[in-house]
Amino acid sequence: MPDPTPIVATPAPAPAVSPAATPTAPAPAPTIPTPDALLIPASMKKGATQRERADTVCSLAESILGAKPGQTAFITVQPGGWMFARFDFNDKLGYPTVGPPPHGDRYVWKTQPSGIRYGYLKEKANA
Amino acid sequence: MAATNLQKNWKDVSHGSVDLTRVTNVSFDLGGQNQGFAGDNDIFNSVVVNMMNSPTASVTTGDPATLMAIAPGTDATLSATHIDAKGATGGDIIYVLTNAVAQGGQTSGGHAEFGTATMQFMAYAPDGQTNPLSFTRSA
Repeated sequence: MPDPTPIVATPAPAPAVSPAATPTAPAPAPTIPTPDALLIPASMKKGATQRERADTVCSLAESILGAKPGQTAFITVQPGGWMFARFDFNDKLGYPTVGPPPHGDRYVWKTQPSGIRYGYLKEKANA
Repeated sequence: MAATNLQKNWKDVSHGSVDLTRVTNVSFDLGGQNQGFAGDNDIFNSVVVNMMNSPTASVTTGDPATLMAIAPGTDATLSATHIDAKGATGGDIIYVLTNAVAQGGQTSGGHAEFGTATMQFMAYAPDGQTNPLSFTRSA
């Protein structure tokens, strides 16, 4: 008499796992592109002397704009309580009003939670 | 040595490619022009607005020949460094006035005195918005 067919327990199918239950690594924080220029509220100037105030604003601007060693940011005090910061003092907020196009603002401004506005050159975005 | 946060004397003064030496005085004026408004029963201005700005600069030097050679109407960048009072590294303040147009110069010299010359500059903003006067501190 042949051996009976051995009974092999069939493993139970794995329970369905909801995708929501699968742990995943947290999404990396979005990086903010380095701006080309800044508009810093004048209230951020700190210091009792002119040089101290210049130093606090320049240091802040250089850290955000990514200064190379020895590179300094130039600050322009704009009416309305803003300081325009960039590396090249020849950079203006807008295109010349006289002459061929383009005209208007040179930058696209994004306000940050700190109150500082990050400026991105339109000509770079269109390149 | 830490910066003293005090400035004394000037160096690296230039208007475009013209280096200005023996400088005895430099001044910058933001040239803000405000206008006030009062109406009804106001006895003070109830609103003051910055209407226009006309930045200017003035340079005085003991080298009249060089300064007076700058023709009125010459448009160039005026740069000047205000030196730290004790020469500390990083203590200087650098001023730059772009589109500084030479306005006119005066020169004089009294008996038994050094001659001097003074020139005024008036700056403009090609975009009509950006203050021509910038500053930074030395690295």
